[in-house]
Amino acid sequence: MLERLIRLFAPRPRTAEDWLSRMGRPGVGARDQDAFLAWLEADPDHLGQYEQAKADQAALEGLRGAFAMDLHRLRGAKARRTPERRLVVAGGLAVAALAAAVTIAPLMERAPAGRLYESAPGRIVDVVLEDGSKVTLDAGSAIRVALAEDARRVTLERGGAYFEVAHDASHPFQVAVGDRRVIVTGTRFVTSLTGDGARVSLLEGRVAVATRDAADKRALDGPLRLTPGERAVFRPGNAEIRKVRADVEVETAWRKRRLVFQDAPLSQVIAAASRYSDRPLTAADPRLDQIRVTTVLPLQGEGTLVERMDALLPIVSEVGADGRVLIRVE
Amino acid sequence: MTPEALVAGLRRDMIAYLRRRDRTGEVEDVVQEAFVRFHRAGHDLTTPDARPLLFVIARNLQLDGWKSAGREAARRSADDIHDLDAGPRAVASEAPRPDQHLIGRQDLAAAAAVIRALPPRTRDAFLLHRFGEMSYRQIADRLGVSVSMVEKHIAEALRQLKKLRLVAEGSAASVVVTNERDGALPSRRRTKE
Repeated sequence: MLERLIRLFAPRPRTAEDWLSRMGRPGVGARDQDAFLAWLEADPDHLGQYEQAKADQAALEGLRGAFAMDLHRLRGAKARRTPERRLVVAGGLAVAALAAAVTIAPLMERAPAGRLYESAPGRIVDVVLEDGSKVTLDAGSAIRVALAEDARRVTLERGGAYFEVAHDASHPFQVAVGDRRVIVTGTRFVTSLTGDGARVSLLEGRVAVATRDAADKRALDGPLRLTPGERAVFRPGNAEIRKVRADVEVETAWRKRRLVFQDAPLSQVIAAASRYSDRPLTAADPRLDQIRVTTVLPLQGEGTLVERMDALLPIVSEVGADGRVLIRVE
Repeated sequence: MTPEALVAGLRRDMIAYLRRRDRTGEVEDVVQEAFVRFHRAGHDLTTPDARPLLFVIARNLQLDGWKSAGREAARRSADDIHDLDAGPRAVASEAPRPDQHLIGRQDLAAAAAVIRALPPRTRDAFLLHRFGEMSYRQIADRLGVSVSMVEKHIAEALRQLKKLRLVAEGSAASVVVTNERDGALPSRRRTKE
């Protein structure tokens, strides 16, 4: 209410930048929209100025990685409820024949320590850690690695990562995601973080999902255990956890630089491919929801990803003024 | 609201808006073309600026005396010839087209410097808005200021970035030299703490 009153008396935006900022406000109403239309109508140059300001802002996407640390600082500035995130931990082919234990435990709030590894949007990156463990970072992902006396600790900060953990029973390997952690002594698995919950999927070997730190003797008391092809689903901050069957090979095909789709609508293919494209992909045609395809989309190869999609799928693409690729049904 | 209902509502209102200005003309084609140009300009139907932008784009087409079919076909065929010359990359290129004033590698570095040089509150509000995917309300709570202040901070950041673009347009060379290496950022970065 107060917010509305203040807005009523707030000065009317006068420039393209003012209007772009106003349009980002919560609950922009018909009143603001009408005033914005009046401003656009007032001068034929106003539309172009506004679009340019908007395109400039879109073009800053390339700086996301450069400001990742600032955001980390800003987000951690005050105590705040952990945003709901999704974790996918998929245990892979067991490198060491030993059964691996994966533990998910509450993550203590403390300053981030260790070495940061990041992949830019659209790039999948292979990393070898100092202990010999191999990591494949999904596009737009980041992990922080601290190899300590009592445990090898990794924090998945965003995106997804495939781990091939070098066997070392005396130094448990732990991956923290949101308010949980995953502990292994040697196995292969995949982690990822997205918007709406956490997931742990296992390809091969054995993992356990629990709630304590690797250094805690009770870490493996009463954890949820997974067998290959199973996925644990939970939300950070919520004690509930459930186990489902999953086609984890298809889900984690990205680590082999390809995406696999089985009877998926084109819109879903485009959404998934967008994170590997140099330019964001936009489904600009409602028919993309209706056409279903089964396809393997290579993320590497001749030409750009969009060119490969054009060749494989019944779509046409066009580059919009803000650099997004608009995709329509052919 | 479903996307279909959203588009149908907008379409109906745009037709009414155009008819208020021109009772005689055929407005459906103008509305259709406005949607095409709206998407091509990179706008999003779900943001609050969609409605005013669609209206003014349609109005401009109407004022220009835009007619369907013929013009669009002519424009497209000219594009196709250009595409044949340039090869398949011109059709679905992921590299910036020369006619686009996209911020290139050097300009991105300059933009980063501009953002870092902003007053701390302005900088933080803008970073949370642009890269933090936070609403103004969330940013206001985080920074302990009002939503109106957040709006002012973001407008100020945009003004500073606009100055940068005006400089860049003045010296075209800084825009061209952008593709010596692949991508604007190294794909992997290590930071020892």
